Amino acid sequence: MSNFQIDQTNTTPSISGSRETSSFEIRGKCYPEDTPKFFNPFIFWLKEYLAIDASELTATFDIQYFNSSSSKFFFDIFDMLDEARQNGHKIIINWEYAAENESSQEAGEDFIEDFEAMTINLVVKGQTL
Amino acid sequence: MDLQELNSQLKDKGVIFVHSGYVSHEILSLIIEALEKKTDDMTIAGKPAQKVFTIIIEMMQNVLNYKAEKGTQGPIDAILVVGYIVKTNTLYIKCGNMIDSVDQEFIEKKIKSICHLEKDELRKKYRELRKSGEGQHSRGAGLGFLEIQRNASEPIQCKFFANGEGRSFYSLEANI
Repeated sequence: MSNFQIDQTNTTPSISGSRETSSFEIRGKCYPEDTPKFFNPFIFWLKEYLAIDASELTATFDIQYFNSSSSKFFFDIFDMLDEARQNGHKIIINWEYAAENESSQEAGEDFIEDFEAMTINLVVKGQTL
Repeated sequence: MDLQELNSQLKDKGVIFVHSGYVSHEILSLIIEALEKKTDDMTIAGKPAQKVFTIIIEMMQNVLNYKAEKGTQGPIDAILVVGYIVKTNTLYIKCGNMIDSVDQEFIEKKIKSICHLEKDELRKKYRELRKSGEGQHSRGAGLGFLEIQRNASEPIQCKFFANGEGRSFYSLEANI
């Protein structure tokens, strides 16, 4: 399968998914004009990725701010990853945020509570762990 | 109209930014970009800029989606005001547009049901609603009002002014 790549715009994040590195990254601001239209191609790619025997996947989210309909899509992506985890895939999620971005931190904490069994790391950007 | 008078009125009210007239997704992104360029440290009047942006985005997309939902033609008209009151250290965001008067009750009910919730309750409700998929991916303000209230520090407020012809001016206000 091919890699997935879309570039960042003023209102949508960049998304890059790679089979070679077993990872995908979503970075930027996210309030698309038409949220389903924006996310559906990536959801399709991810489904395909998880259908093949991808034993590992590292997902990185670095979203400065997002609208509520995107939040729903992030939830759906987490849900897909959780299902893959239950099917034996090794999934690691990194939720990155800037230290002063309280909203993004809270969003990451919400996902940790919603997906207790998942490995979700909150990563403060610009700080070495 | 005396522009000088209008300008000094806006200044008296602590207005930082105002847009009145045609709105679109592109204009929304330009507004956010303009406000973002004004800040070096991601704060606006000392408040976290992400909160301000999130509220503006939800409010404006509500307006745009409302119009799309109704399927009405023609340009979308709205007013957005961002301002800061020094005395109370309050940053306010207000957004107004015309709606069908029949929709007032639905909006009022939604806002009343969430605006007085504590932070933890809001968070719980937001997560429940997102999980349930209720109103999933649909247009309209399911999670939207909760998102606005989560980012506000006081209960959000709505006001309606009927024009007597089945239409009402609807304003939504949030303080940080």
